[in-house]
Amino acid sequence: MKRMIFWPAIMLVLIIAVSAFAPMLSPWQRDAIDLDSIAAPPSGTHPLGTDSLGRDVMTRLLYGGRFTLMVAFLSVAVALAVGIVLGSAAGWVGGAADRIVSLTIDFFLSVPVFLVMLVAASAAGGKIWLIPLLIGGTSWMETARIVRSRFRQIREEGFVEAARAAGASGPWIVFRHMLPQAAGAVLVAATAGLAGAMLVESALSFLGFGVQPPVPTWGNMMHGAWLTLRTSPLAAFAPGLMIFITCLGFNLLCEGYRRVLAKERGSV
Amino acid sequence: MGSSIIKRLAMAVPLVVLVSIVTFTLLHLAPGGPAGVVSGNPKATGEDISRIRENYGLDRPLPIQYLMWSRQVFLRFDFGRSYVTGRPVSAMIAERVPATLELMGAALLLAVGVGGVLAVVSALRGGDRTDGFFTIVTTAGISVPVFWLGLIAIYIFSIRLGLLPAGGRAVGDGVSLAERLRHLALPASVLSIAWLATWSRYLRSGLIESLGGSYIRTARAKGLAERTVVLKHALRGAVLPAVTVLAMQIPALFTGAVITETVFAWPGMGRLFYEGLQRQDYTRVLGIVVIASIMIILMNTAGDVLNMILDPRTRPGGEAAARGGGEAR
Repeated sequence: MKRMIFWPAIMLVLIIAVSAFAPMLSPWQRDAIDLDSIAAPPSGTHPLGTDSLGRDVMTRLLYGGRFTLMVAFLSVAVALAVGIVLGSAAGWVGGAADRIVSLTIDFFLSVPVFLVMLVAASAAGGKIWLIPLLIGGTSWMETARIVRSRFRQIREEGFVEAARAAGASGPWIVFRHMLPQAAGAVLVAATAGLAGAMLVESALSFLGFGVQPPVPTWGNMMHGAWLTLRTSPLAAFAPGLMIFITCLGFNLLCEGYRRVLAKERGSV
Repeated sequence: MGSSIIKRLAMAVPLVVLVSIVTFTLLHLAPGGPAGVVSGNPKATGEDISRIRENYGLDRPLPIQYLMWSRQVFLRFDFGRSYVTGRPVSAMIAERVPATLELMGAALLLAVGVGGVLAVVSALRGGDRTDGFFTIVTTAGISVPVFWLGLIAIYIFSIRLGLLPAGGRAVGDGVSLAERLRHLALPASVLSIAWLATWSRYLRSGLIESLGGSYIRTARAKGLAERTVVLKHALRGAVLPAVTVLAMQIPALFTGAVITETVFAWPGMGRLFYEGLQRQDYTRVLGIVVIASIMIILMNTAGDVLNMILDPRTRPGGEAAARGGGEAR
């Protein structure tokens, strides 16, 4: 179980560090075009070759990590904000608020969200700040559900009542006393959420409706890469591999953390 | 449970209406709007464009336009004509539905079959020993980007090895079953991965849990063959939660379909949708979103029915019977 947290964490820290220091590590300018080598195989000057415009794949991979991770973290932040607010409303206020939130969750879980998201992204015309809003706005349900059910469990417990008797306001009780009780489970969901957000962003960008070039993300680097699959397969495979191992890292971390939580709960 | 099915179907109407309103509004927010594709023609004069807008009713207020569209769709099931091809959208979608269902069905069969065997074998080999390996493999299954996997599959099996076609669907009278399966193999396998991972993980943990249950001890004590114990008794208890998880992933299947169909040039609804979006064919896009929503609702309902068949507790009067049986044990 410790290994399941340790190795993914090491890998993720490495990936994040390498992306953060992209300007120092990359041999070329982010969007620099090398007209002498277009869709070229790996060489001394271009360690991973170039894409169909003659841009260095290695360089864009490093920068791509920045934008990909940034969009993923922002998406999860949005999802957490929406999920915590709606989940608290449902679990703390109850009644009509609870019914409305539950209906909304059901709605999001039973419609072709990705299709509508594609429509929204195409209407947005590639504004990069809209992507996290879209992804976060359609992936908050798990968080809301966790917060809601935890709040319903502990709503009537002694420490909540004590806080209320001491004259604490509703928001204070929710954020200071109740939310920490749900923090562990929410964190597990958020970790898996990072992988989920990355996969959605990559899919949108791969299809050409997500983050628009020249800003590189691992997803949009693969847009159109199937056309040059024969000549420069590396341009298509390298970004996907990064998406894969990063998502694997987040998901393994989530799984390890989930087991630790389950064990703690079991031993209590 | 019966009432829950009726409730789900009754929920379907507001659900579809809401989805269509959201999609409709988004499409009209897009730069150029629905007339954009026509007005993109450099030879179109201002007068032409306003005439086209009038023809399609695009000059009216948005709510009125939506009411006109929804009356046409929900009362006469007429989705209008495609802005690009001029053909009725319902006919265009109807042509593509079989391809998508074929792909999804094949992926489902693969996932349930292969995943089922994996789960049973791993659970029987001792849950603890196979746990690490199984966890990593299934986690990899949910972490892999579908389009990347698709490109790798094409690169290996059709470009390098030349074993399978890189895309397309083989249909028609003279096409043999083998040829159809050869075309289906790559896209169906790629689409099945995420389902396979989730399903086998839940099935396996359910199996391990139910193998420790008291009714399994009873079955073994009765002297039943181990095979019967596992396949008839333990599996039955484990399949149920796994089926629920499988059903929850149905909307995700449409995500996978758009990507898989695009990568493998599979002529299904997903690819029709993607091309429609690229060419700003709004009636088509809207029609597919509505049809996909209805399909998801129907599949979810089918999942409920399957649950009802598998779980005696959810049958009318089954709760008491199941409880009585439990006490007798």
